[in-house]
Amino acid sequence: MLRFAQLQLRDPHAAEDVVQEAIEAALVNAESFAHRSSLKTWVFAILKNKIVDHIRHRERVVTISSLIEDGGDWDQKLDELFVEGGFWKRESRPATWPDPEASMASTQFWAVFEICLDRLPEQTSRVFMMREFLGFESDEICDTLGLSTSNCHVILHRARMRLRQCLETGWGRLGE
Amino acid sequence: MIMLNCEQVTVLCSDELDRRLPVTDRVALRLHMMMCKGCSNYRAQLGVIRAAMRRYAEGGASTIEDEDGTRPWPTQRFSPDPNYSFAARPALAG
Repeated sequence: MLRFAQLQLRDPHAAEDVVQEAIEAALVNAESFAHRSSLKTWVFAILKNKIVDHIRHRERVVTISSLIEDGGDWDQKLDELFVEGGFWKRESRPATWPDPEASMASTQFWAVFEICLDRLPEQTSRVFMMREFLGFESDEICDTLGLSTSNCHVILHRARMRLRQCLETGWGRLGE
Repeated sequence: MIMLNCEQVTVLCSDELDRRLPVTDRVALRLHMMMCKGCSNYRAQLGVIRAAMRRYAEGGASTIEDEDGTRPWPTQRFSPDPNYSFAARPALAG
């Protein structure tokens, strides 16, 4: 749980706080646990809500300049994937990945997945996790972090590009 | 009809996950997908990432084990390379 919160908040103290709050909330509301889901799923759902609350109330700590720094050398690396006309270079053309369902059943896949998530630059990761992990709409992310819509989309695009690049190297081509 | 290059298509593949694309973009995207395997793979991969994130967010990832004890993938370790470069990607033996 702590690791889960840490990935979202990138702040060890805040992560400990939300985990504690989530456990307290789970204990207080134990009778409302309806066994419709597994206990773990239920507790994580509570934790997720606590993290969302925390982010909504947090001051806008992300500055646009820190996000731009995040992407600095990345833009250049991005360009290197493509030839002049904007088409894939032969060696960087995305491969067909192995069957996703089978992959998600393998611990190997998740090990690589976590490494790749960890490797995202901090601010990029924050935006990406808000979108894909906590389920914020992109408009709300822009509002909460004080970013323009286009900035938001660029950051999400970079995050996905990077993540898939990392996954493909670490796992997607293992079967070849 | 606007023809898009792969770089522009990757941007749209991301955008379509966050907002509804204008119809011209959707048509251009579809046209490009018909003739570009790399971008079709890219789009499918973003779908896998989204599905994986959803699974991960449910807290399911860490407990997932291979049910029949077999590993669908080679048990090769993935070691992060600090000098990782997108231009010169390390070739992994399969």
